[in-house]
Amino acid sequence: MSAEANKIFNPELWVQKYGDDLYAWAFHRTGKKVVAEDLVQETFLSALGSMEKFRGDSNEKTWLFSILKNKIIDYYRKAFVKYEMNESRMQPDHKETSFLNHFFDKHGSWNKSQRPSNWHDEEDNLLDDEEFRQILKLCLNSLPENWFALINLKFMEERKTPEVCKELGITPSNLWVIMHRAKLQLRACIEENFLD
Amino acid sequence: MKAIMHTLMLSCTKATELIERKSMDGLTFTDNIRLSMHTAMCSACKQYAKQSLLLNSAISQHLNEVPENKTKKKSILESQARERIQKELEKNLKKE
Repeated sequence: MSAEANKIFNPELWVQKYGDDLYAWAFHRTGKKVVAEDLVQETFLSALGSMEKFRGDSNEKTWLFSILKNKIIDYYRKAFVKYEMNESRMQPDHKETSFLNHFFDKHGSWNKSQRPSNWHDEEDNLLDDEEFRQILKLCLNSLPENWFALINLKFMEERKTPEVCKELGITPSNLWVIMHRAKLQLRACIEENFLD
Repeated sequence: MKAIMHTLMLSCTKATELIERKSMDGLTFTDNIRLSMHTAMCSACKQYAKQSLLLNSAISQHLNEVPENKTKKKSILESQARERIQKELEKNLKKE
């Protein structure tokens, strides 16, 4: 290890200094203890391997976090591919039509029971409402795995469609179709649980 | 009446599709106009559009905000995991 790298980095202290913060983030993003632990370990090992390349333009913690974020992207990319393959083994066309039929009638108008209600979000700032946020989290987690993976990939740090599509090997059209369905389901779940 | 309207204008199915697409990647000039016309006349889709944007912000907030800022207890590494990771790290350090 070069003298410069030695000065900036103290890998022996990484677990002690950053282990909990990295784990908290990984667990928050994946919801899975073992997965989060593995991601933290992989982050440290990956960091060890690329210490020489580090240009010192950020601090140790920021750098480790950026490695972790890339690991999380990989994790969701693999999850998407895995669950997308499972999906396509079922009959995709039939599934897609019947999904939309739940929300819209044969003319493409909202079914009466599915019409969006008023959430009165001008009056109450829902983004600060703890109950709303809990329901959002629950509803997100109840989405199909491949949709959930895509949402994570797209919304994580406001990543752009072309970038996400390239990673997953899908077209923007594919992405828009999934997001449409995911948002329909998510919105309906939230309305059902949030409005009494 | 409804059937006629929908041959001339967007269906709600299509409108909700465009609402999502617009928030991600924008729409063509034509689609923008068609969507605006639809939401001007369809209160359900107008609600949907508002809620869709709200959800985008909420999802972004949920996925990008650091857990330690919340008042809830932060998840920490179990001691078993901590030891395991430290050992693995030290093992690889020695290889340098």
